[in-house]
Amino acid sequence: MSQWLWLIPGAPLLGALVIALLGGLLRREYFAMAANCAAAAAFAAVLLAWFTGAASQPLQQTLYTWIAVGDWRLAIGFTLDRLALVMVSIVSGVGLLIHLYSAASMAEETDQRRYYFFLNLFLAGMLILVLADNLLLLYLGWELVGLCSYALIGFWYREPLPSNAGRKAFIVTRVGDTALALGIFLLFSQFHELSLSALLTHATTQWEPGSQLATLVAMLILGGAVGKSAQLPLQVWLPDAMAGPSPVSALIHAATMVTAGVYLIARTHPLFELAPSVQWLVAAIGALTIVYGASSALAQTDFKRVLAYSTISQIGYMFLALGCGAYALALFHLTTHAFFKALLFLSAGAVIRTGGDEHDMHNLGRLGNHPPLARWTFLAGAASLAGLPFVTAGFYSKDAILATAWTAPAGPLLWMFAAVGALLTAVYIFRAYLLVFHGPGPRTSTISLPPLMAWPLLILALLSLVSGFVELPEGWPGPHLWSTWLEDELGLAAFPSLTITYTLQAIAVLLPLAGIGLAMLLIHREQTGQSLPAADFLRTGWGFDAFYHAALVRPYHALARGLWRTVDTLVIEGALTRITTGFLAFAAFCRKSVEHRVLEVGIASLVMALQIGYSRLSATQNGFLSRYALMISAGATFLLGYWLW
Amino acid sequence: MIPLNHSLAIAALLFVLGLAVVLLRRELLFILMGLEVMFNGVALTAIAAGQHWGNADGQVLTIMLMAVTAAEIVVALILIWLAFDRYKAVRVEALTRLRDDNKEGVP
Repeated sequence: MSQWLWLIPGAPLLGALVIALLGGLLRREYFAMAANCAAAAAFAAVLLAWFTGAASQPLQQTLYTWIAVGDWRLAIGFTLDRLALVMVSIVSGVGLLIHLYSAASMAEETDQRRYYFFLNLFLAGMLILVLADNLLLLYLGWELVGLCSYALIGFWYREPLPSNAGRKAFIVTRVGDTALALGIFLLFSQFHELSLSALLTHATTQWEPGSQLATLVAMLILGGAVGKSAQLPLQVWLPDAMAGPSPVSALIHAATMVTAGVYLIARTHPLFELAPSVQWLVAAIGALTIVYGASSALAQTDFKRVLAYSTISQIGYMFLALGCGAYALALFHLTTHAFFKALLFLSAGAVIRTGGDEHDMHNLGRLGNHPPLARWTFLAGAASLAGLPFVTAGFYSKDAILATAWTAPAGPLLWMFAAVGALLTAVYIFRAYLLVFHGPGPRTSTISLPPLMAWPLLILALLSLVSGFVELPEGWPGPHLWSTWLEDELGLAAFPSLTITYTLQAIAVLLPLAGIGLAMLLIHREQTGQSLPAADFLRTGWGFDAFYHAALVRPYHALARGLWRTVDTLVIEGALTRITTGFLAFAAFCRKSVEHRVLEVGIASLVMALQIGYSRLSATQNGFLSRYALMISAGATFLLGYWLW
Repeated sequence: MIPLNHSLAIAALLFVLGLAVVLLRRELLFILMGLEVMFNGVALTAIAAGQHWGNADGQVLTIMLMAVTAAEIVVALILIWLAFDRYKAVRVEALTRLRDDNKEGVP
């Protein structure tokens, strides 16, 4: 299998190239088919990897030397260890399901070629990011997914909202990407090495725990992760990114790309263990973001924005787990989250589509008449997101994170944040469910979804319910397949003593149920016209956008305007005018003196001399034979005389 | 035994006479005859020199010269006949087609 590893990112890349380069030869219905085949090939390659032992033995393939400077070499190489295997399975599997869903839901769009090109390119970029065995290749994938995210958010680029949202996403993530790039530069300057495994070994053997360099590098990598994964304070781009098509939101802004930050930290976790303060910061950011996202989601009116804030908040759980050293649990929540959040987005997309592109939840509730399949699958996803006890995957993954958070420094505080977040999660998602599906509109409907949309929904619904059973909570009898399988690479999570664990688990069981009750109360209040306290504050995402606008965007504009008025107008334009005037005078002088006097006179006299000489010489060519003969004789006589005397 | 100087004087006379005919006469046939006279002057020089040095090379050269002249006269006569045939010209003034016409300007 090792020699076929390139096929995993290569298949979608090939698909993207075929669509981009040969798309002119294809009919527009075939774009979806080509893209689906590429995604299916990637997924098949991943399945093949599973069955040929990648689960026990890491696979490695070096394709070719990318950069060679002196005796330093950098190769395009892929490593498929267990961490990467989990990620590629999610990316290619969920990616394939969403490709299939796209084929039905995007069938009426005009720009099929562009859509599927970027979708396939995204898949390729994400798989490169995950499989890369060196930091530069990882960064290539990192930027590739950023580009595709930008292009797909702005898919309907003729309208100002999506294109602005795309730009915003690109610029905000750029802040994080720059930090990551600086981190990579710093690591390279220290070790002259970019290979991930070598770097991590060097760092753990040469750097003291808590040393300044380690802290700095970890901070920079955290900056990159925060930008990509939409954590505080760089989370502002994700809610606006919902302007893109629903399958894009499901694939890029819920299941895969935004979890790249989590993957990055899990991949470089030895660095974070060298910098305990940064690791605690990861947990703190995660905890804050949980509450931020969940509380903001409470007051949203746009269906997809609820899910966007929910994504922010759920990735907060993964950061919390990373910060507590429970990397396997972060990955576990990443997996279940990919399933249920993709499911929520896809079913919400189906509802929005049948509702005539209506995004407002109150209006959707009034419209009613939603496809029953979308309703039941949304309910399954919502239950899993809320962590409804025992029957959903979300319960198992979130409960484990809540328990392990207790052991971190200031653990009870972190646990408090996470628990409040868990309660709010149940409130906002069931508020959304009740608003949309239990509104005043007709509830029964016979609209059925096309099979290509229905099957991905059903598969994801099944996975969001049962995928949690691979890892039962700490202290329970039953399988702990996930953490034992990943133990070699990511270590085991720490848990508090059994009595505390059981208490925490009992609270975690009660929280979602309480949340559902609160959601019903909230709906009742909303229907009687009362709104949430500080609803506007929450709806605008704690006013982050306004704050950034006042603190960064407006001063930047003012600075630009000031520079335009002073530097541009006075200095540059002034200088340019001077320079131009000088050049004009110089040019006029040159024309008068050099051109007129020297060049023109010179050329004219040369021409005249040539003409005179020509007319003189022309007299000899008169055509008279006798004259020619005379000249020949005279010449011969002259030469003879010259030689003889 | 004719002294060398006499022979050379006769040869020079023949050559100059031929040259004068070439330069001064305007009829094509006369110019051709002038050329033949010049050839004869040259041939006489060769014979005289060969006699003076007691060497047969001069006579060989003369016989060779005769052959070349015969060949040359064939070509020249054809050219003259062609000139007459094409341009009705027997004098060189009529054959000035190689003249460069200054008034038409620089080519």
